[in-house]
Amino acid sequence: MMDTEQPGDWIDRYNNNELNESELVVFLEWMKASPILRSEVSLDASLTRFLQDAEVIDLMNKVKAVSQQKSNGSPLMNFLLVAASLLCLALIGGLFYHLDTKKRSAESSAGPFVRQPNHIKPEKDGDKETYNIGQKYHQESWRKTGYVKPVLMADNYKPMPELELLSGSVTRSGQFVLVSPKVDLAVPAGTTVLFSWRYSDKEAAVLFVIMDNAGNQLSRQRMNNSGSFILKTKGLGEGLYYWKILANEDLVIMGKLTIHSGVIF
Amino acid sequence: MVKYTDEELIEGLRQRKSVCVEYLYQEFNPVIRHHLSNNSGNQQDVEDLFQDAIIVLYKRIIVQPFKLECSLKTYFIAICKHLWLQRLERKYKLLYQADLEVHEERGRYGAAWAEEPEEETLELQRLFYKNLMSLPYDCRRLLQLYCLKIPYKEIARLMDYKDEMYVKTRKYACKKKLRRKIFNDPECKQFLNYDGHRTARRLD
Repeated sequence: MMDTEQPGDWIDRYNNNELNESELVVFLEWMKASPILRSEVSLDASLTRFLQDAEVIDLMNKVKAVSQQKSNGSPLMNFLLVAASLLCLALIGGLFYHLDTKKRSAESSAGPFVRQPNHIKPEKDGDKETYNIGQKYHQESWRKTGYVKPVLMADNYKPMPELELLSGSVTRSGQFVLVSPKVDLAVPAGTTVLFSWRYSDKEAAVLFVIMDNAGNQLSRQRMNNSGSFILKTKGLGEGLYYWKILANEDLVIMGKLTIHSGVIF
Repeated sequence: MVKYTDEELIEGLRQRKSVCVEYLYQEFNPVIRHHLSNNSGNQQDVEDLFQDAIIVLYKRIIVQPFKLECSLKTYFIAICKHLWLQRLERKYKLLYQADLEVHEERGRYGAAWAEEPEEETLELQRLFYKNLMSLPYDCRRLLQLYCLKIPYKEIARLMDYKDEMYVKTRKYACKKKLRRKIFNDPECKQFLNYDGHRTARRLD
């Protein structure tokens, strides 16, 4: 601000009467010539007087503190506001959780929807064929597949008497031996099941068919003659399924497969 | 909430008790806010006016004997209204200063100008205070101790500085910093007049 080159503390020294005679003469000349310097000297004197008034500064501090406290609100009010905000968040969270649980519950009580899967092609896994029936079943869209009707979860486990009678029977036992799995197998959802057998007729056309507990055919697949394949059940809904192996269109063996959520009661 | 009588409030303010300042703020601030909202004031003006009025009241009550002839609230609000009117007049004058100098010379505002307006002094104090508070704590304390004419040696002892020379150097640096802050503050311009007609008002 200053348009002169006197030492910065000359204003201070002038206001404190600390300038010597020669300095004072020079400084007064500067002041006479410069209205800016006069203003600054005057303002500096006011500043010094203000700083000396410790009581007023103290009072200003107190007013400012009160003003800030009031504009920020009381600590109790702030606490209540924070508590109310947290409560609101908890309520909203609880509501969402409740809605989500309700939705899941509704979905599980409705049970899996029975749909007719499209033709399933095997995947090669080493020398074994893999049939990812569940995944295919899961991936099918409702538009592409035939929607039948929603079925309750308990209904999915209801055995079908006609198929129950055939389950476990090996009609051509002399030539066909099932090595694995058991004819009545219960597995958690998503498990892969290895089917392996020995069959003396190497030329026979072997078919694997899987049905739901109402006898609806879900998949019918031709096997190669390696004597084994892996069935992936991932995505296949919980419930009771029946499977059968046909040789040259004749029933060879029939079994059942129960897919559960992971806990067997 | 505790109720205070006017006498208790005056005595409390004389001793600069925070509870009294808080009480006055709670009791009088809504009235000031209402008054200013009807007279082109904003929230910051309310805060500033309250602070100015407290200082005016304080300066009056520390001068003995102080006799109140109406309620403290009436008195306080009257101070506020008076200060606000002064400020509006000064703003008006600053806005139309050039015209007034040409057409009115020493008219209505010229007379008011001559008697050192209280409001302007308070505004200058606020400017100083604002910039003082923006300094580091040790700078503020050092300047205040220096302005209270406490010897350098004693300041060095109080502030745990190594010697008087360091106090002197530090004081110079702090004062320079404060002065620069004030002069660079846009609000300072109204207190500096380079044409020789006006200089900053001296604080009482």
